[in-house]
Amino acid sequence: MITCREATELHTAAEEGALTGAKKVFYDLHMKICPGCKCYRAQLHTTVDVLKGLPPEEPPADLVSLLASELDEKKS
Amino acid sequence: MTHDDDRALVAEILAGDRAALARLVAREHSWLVRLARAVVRDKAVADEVVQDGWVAVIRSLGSFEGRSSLRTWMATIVLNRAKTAAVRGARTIAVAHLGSDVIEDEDSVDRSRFGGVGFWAKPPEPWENSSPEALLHRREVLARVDATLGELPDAQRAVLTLRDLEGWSSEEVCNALGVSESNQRVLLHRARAKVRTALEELLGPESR
Repeated sequence: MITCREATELHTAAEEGALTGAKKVFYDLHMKICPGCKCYRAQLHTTVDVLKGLPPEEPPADLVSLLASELDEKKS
Repeated sequence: MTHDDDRALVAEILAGDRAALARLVAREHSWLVRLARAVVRDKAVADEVVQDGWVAVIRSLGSFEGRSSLRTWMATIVLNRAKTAAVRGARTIAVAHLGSDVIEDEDSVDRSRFGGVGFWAKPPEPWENSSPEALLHRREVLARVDATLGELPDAQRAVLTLRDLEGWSSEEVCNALGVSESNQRVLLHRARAKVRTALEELLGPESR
């Protein structure tokens, strides 16, 4: 069996498929029965979804023209 | 994005296709900025690093052979510039030695939350109104996430940025940053755990 404290360190590894053998069996079992760890994992998922939803950094408006003139210069 | 796709795009750009150039910029600019900021912190300096990096990328595009992915190749160019700028600004850079000694013993959750045998003494409680869509509309959530990202150690921030904000695969991140798969995973987990803790402070029962 693993403890809650150990489980909190394994969620990303579990999701990336990096847990194997007994560790994976114990982790999966723990996650079936522990409401605190289920809640923690759900909050990690929410956290990742928020991070994924942050707007991207937009390029400055003139960047493409600057780079295009760089290319033209290189050719000439 | 396969290496063949990368090579095709590069060929179009070199042939003078401006739309292809705009596609490359739209696709790659965001992570370049975020990666540079992870190394140099100062926003204005990071933006300069990225602009110089873009010019360097375009100037040497003809020498891109497609042996690595375009992203890995671009990351090398921009990271080198960012590290030089960081050294000039006398900042220590964890990203320079990401692969080696940055994995310190840290807890994802404060030890005081667990009892003596390691089971929850103070388990997390569900957050109210916590759909990601709702949270992304709350200014204080965005501010807190932004502040927390700024406080992360460089290596954690670089990995979290590329994996979660930019949606890269673990393989792409390992190649671009030169970290092992297992270190990448630990850095990602620690960073996610810290952002979760910050959100808990804002959304958990003690904030109500």
